[in-house]
Amino acid sequence: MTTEQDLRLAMLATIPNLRAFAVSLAGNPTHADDLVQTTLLKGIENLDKFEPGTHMRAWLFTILRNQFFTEMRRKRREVDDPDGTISGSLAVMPAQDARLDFTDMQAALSKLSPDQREILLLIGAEGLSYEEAARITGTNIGTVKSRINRARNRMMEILGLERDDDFGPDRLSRSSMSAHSIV
Amino acid sequence: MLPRDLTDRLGEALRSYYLRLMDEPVPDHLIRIVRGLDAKGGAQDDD
Repeated sequence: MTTEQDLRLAMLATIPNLRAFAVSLAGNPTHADDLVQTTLLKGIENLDKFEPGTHMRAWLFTILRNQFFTEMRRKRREVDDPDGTISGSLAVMPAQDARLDFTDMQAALSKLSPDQREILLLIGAEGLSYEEAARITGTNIGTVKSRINRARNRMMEILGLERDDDFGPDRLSRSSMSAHSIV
Repeated sequence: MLPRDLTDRLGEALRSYYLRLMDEPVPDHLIRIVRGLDAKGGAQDDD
């Protein structure tokens, strides 16, 4: 028997994933924490609707991404940003030794369309299956597959990477210059 | 479609980035919401 306390514990355990997803999706840590807060509040309000046996993470991710896209559509109408290219500032200042790798990735992600960014995070970073990602995003597996392929190709293009060797630190450092210059 | 090895390397780089974000400390107010310590989350008693 799953108690409300069990569900709250499951929610707590999911917060780091929610924050990482939100920061990467929104590109802004303040906006990300607002999204996570709204998600948690909605989750608690609707705990009775959570189906035992399903994944808390997937359920909360669905709430969060729906909130994000609703806000984005609203904002797009307000600021007339039809391409959805509202770019975020860097979310986190990582330690100096890994700064380039981290900022490369952040900058490259910010240049993907929101749909591509979302699917790359769910599958590439969170490790969800195509089926889970399709359920969360309200699409089908075919859409997920084509979207993830386009997202990966676009990331390689943005980072200026073509071969396995290109993932070395020197190449990544050089590619960061081109990635940042597109911002 | 990208070759498998490139897809794998991109995945590694992405997960590495993501893990750094997950290691960030969770703001206290988010924990308090789930534990039911904030007004909108439930009881208002502090610990």
